[in-house]
Amino acid sequence: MTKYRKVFLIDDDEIHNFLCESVIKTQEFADNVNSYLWAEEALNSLDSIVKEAPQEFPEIIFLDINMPGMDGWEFIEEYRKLPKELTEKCLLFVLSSAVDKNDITHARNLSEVNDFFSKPLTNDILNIISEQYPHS
Amino acid sequence: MIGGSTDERILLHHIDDYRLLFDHNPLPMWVFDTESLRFLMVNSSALKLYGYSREEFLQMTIKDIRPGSELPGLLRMTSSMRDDLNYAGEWMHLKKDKTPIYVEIVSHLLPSSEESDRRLVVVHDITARKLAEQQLAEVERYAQSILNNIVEVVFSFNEKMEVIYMSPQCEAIVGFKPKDFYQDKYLWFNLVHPEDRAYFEKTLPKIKVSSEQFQIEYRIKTSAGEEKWLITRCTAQLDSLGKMVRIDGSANDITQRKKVEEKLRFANFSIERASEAFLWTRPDGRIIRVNRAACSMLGYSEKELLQLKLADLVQGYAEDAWQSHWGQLEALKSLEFETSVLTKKGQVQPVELHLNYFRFEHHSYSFTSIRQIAERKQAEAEKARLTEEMAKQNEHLRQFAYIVSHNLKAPVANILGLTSLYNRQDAADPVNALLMPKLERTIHLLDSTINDLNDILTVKSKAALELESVNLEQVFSDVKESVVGQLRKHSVKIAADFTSGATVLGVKGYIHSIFLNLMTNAIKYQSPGRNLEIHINTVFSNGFLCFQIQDNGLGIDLRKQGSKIFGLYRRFHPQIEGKGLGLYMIKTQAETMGGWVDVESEVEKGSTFKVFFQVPPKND
Repeated sequence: MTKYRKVFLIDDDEIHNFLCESVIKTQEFADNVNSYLWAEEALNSLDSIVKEAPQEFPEIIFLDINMPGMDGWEFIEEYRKLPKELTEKCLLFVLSSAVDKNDITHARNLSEVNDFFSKPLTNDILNIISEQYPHS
Repeated sequence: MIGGSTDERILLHHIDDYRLLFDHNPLPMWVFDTESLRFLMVNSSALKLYGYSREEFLQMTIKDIRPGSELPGLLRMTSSMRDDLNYAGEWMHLKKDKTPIYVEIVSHLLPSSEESDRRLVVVHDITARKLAEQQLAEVERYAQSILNNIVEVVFSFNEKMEVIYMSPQCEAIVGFKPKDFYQDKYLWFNLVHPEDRAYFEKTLPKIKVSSEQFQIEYRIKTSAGEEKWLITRCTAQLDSLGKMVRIDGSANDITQRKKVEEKLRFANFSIERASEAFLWTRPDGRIIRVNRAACSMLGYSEKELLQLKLADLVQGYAEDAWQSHWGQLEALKSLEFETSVLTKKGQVQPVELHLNYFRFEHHSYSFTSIRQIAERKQAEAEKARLTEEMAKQNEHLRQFAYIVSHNLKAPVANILGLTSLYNRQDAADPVNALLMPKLERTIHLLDSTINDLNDILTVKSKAALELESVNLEQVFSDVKESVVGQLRKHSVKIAADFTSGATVLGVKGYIHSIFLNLMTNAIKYQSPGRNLEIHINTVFSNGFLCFQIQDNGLGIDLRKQGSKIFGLYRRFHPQIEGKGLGLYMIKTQAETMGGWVDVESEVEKGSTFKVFFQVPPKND
């Protein structure tokens, strides 16, 4: 399995973040996992990285849609404004419990979104990612 | 012959007497010679009648006092053998001034003398009688001509009601000739339409005893079986005892008029009986005709309406607005619009006006129909209300779908994830100890979510709710009691003031639930930096009682969350355990009781939630 350097988790569900971290660590999918309960917080963090240490930009972001405050869609709007050369190299996956077809279709139609997965994050999902998006 | 015998003298006396008789006779006379036709003698009456002097007269022959047209007749007469006493008949003579006169001539042969025969002529001037006769004949000719030329049939009935005269027009009108009526004396009565016979028979006796003119309209069957309307005007001729001796009259065909009348009456009847209100106006808006429905709709009498203008009835219809409307109407010929009319009693009724422009005998009019649309308006409002309600229901359904898709799926996904991490081979794995409390927490969350959904469904399924008077202060004190442990633990300061009002119309259980939710929210989302203070009061607002609960907690950024705050499963504080259901429950319960909720909040200052309740009627 390809091992990634840095993964961002953005989800207001603490338990889900714990789950994701556990799976990623068990599967040795990434060296570092940063969890955020607020999308704003994650965005601030990305902004500082852009300014201070672009090499620290995450390679993968798992984003929840339904969150208090800034939700997943609003986050993508802001994410789009970040430097292209950095976001291009980053894989953005929507990870949601939504079973609403409209949400799934909408997510897949956004060029910034690489794919949509249903919760919970499993070994299978990580396998698919590492097979389909080989480390550059 | 002077100095003759006594007989002779007597005879001479007699001759003188006859002479006197001749000369002074009031009847014009003369003697003429039957051969030469010359006048031999003439009396003064004759001279006076013809205007000649004796000398002039005795110069003439009897031909000279006649117009040329009479001469052949005269010559035939004089050359014929006549009786001694001859009634020569009527002749036309000429006066000296050529004025014609009519005379009746009688002549008598005088005893014959030596040369020729003489005749004594006595003249009766009949000019006056003759002229009167001519005039009469003239009048009769006129009368006949009028009778023959008028369209009406003229008739006379005798005292037995038999036809004694029927003018020829009867043929054109009823198809029978006058002789048919003379042969069948009662034919006219038999032609009367069976349905009108009773009326006819009722009126006839009245005609017979009066000398006034009567006028009756009735139907008859013509010889061809066609039905016709006739008008008869007739007058009875009464004798000195008041007994009817004759009825004279005329009859005329009025079928055409009756048909037109019937059409008019039909149209009028329809207009008057129509349930729709109609009125007619002139270009200046004056009302010139209305139907019954218009009167009853507007509450005015016909007389009152005819004093008004259309603009007086239509709400907010100024005089100049009418003028521009009329201009439009003239151009478009028809206008339709919705407005309101004001009844006499001052009621406002929503109506649809339909103006139709037309010209009639050089004048312009509008034929306007007024249709009440209150019911339609009500139906439209009802439809709008149902649509809104349906939209609301759809929104609820959408949110329920959202719960199922997200808020039930999320904890289930967590349970799946957590159990997959559980180390079954080695129960002593420290990871397991880490997973168990998280699994428990998630299962509790799932359980309470299901309970909350059940509560919401219970509230929503109660369609018609019995509202009762509820004392807010009482309920609030119950709620405070139930959370007294938490209040003590956080040293919460509470100030409650219900002096402005405490009694509302609602459901005690719902109000309890609302208060409990608001109190626990205030405790849950208190700021870690300061002691929680809660201020509660009530205030009247537009007929509703508003319950306000203000805290100094974390607050919510309403600019970001405003539209979502009372939505189902919205959470605003990810660090703090919550299902995001409380506010939605509050909103649902408040709306079910006919009220609503509102919020004011500022981050790090605190929040004020407002719940509006219906209040019981004042006399309660």
